[in-house]
Amino acid sequence: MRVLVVEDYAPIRETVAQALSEEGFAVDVTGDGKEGLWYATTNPYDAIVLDLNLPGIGGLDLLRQARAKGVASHVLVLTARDGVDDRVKGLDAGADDYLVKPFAMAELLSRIRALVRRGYGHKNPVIEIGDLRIDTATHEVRRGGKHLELTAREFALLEYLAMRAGQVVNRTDIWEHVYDFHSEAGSNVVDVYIGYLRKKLHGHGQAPLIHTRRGQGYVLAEAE
Amino acid sequence: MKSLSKRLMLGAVLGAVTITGSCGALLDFLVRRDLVAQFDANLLAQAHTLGALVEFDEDGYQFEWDGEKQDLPQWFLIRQQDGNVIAGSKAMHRADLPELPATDESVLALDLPTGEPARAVALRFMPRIDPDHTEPPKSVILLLAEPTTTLDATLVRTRLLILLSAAGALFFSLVAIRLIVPGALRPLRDMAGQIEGLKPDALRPIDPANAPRELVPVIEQLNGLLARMDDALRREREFAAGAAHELRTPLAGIRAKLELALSRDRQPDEHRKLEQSALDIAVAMQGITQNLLLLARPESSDTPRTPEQMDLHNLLRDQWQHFAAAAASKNATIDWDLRAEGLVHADRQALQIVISNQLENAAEYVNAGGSIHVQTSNEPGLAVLRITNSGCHLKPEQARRVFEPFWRGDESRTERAHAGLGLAICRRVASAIGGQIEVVVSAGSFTVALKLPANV
Repeated sequence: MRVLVVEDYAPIRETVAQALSEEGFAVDVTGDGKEGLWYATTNPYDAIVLDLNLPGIGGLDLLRQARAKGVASHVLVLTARDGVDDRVKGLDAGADDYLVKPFAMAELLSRIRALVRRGYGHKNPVIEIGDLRIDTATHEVRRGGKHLELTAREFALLEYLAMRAGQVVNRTDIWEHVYDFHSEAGSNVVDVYIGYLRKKLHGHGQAPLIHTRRGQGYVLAEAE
Repeated sequence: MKSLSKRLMLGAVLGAVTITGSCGALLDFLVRRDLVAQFDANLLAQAHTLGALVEFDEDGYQFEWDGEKQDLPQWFLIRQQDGNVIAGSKAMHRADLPELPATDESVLALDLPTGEPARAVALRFMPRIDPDHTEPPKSVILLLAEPTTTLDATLVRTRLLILLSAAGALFFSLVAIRLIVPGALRPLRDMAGQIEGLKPDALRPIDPANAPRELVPVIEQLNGLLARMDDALRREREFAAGAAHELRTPLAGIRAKLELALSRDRQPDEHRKLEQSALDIAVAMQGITQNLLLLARPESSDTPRTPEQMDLHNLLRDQWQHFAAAAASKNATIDWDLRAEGLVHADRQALQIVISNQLENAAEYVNAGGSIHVQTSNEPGLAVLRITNSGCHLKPEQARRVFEPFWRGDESRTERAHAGLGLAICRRVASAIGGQIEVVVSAGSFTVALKLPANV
């Protein structure tokens, strides 16, 4: 899942980016409002963390402009102001959630996860396909009751496929939602990781779950 | 006298006592004078009547008294000039009655030989003359006295009556005063009640419409004070809110760093990096809180410290060392135009704070490739330091807002320790050392001018 962080205070910007990244999110960061708007309108983020006090255009203005331009990403607004007025203003300008500084990192992460779920229409943080069980909150993956060990990137890829379980996901989609701006591009990268994932999921003869649709992409589902 | 009520009552009581006392005394005096005058008039009339009974004929002085028709007064004497008695009452012994000094019809008080108080009059007059008798008579002297016992009794009774009336009047006055005065002072209690109802977040002015005229100036002054207090409290609240806001962000930074450090197993050097960052932020917060405390204190507590002879130019160059690198990294240039008398008389610490702040601002806000201009000059009685940087995005109307705590030109947060307080602090410190700071924005450049009293 891909997140944009727009925050001009470096300590928070860097820390949030690192925390998200360690959670397996693909993260793009900027400290500038104008640049943030450009990022938001260019890429389909699963969530945007937006600080209200930004140089250039303020956070609220950025939000309004982004929504006006059709940016549909879920936005979580961060700010040091906690008056009811400001909460109302933020939400009415198009935000989906609001967090006051100082905040607990764990709370930020779980709110982001909730926004992501909402984006894909999933209510349950636990996604089950056949005997595959993915807990998006704890990152625990089990197949037939047995725990599977995945790397962060593998999990990110699996999570995306699972969020869109049953739908055909093309390489561009995967590229845009599982990799951030600074990832090394390569048409192969996605295929390679799909290969790794397949091996872990059904490398020992279990029923395949990741199916290829020639010319279209991949789909995570029970047997065809 | 600490009580308005007691003061008023005492004044009223003294007034009442004085008035009833003087009125009573006056009344007593007038009544006495009147009665005595009446008595004297009667006495004089009687004397004239008696005198009319004296005739001088060929037999000498005669006293024509018709014993049947009139009673003779108890105390009278009519005599010739040589002392021969013409007529007299039995009780009158000439030798016992003191000589009356005047014979001009004035009535005088004296004591009778019996001890009774009396009033007496002496008349010198010419007796009636028998027209046939040619010898002119000599004048005769009439003495008439009347005891004043009755008169005195009347006077005493009257005096008592007056006294009782006065006492009664006084008593009822006192009762009335006692009842009226506290009531008259009720508006004060009402006002106290209204003031009691005021709360720090509800300092509504008191309506002077129904107040007594004497309280209106007090109410107006009070309302003025309430407005000033309300304003001060509002500014205090805003300051507190601004301060909290400014501290929340670095706190969030510290929290984020430390939570991240603890969120999973990490290598020691990663731990060190995160902890160092948290520490740096904490130290920056110290600077911010210091500034906040300075600004939160009342200006009256800004004690001017110890002034000394300061070389302004040396101080400028010294302080610039801290910021030269930052300016250089932006390819910004600095030029020095130091034409003033270099010495000023000011507190070292204060001057350093102000100059350091001004230079830091200039280095911070100058645009890439821009210029900083430092100028000192003298104006009458003043040493003036002007620091100008290019790259200013403020509008000229915004110039005076830079002194507002927490105000920033573009709503962003920089990572300096100042939190938008720099110029607010400079202004406080400058004024504590007897100086002034002004800001001018024009044509994209920002100038801070510090004016200090020239070497005293």
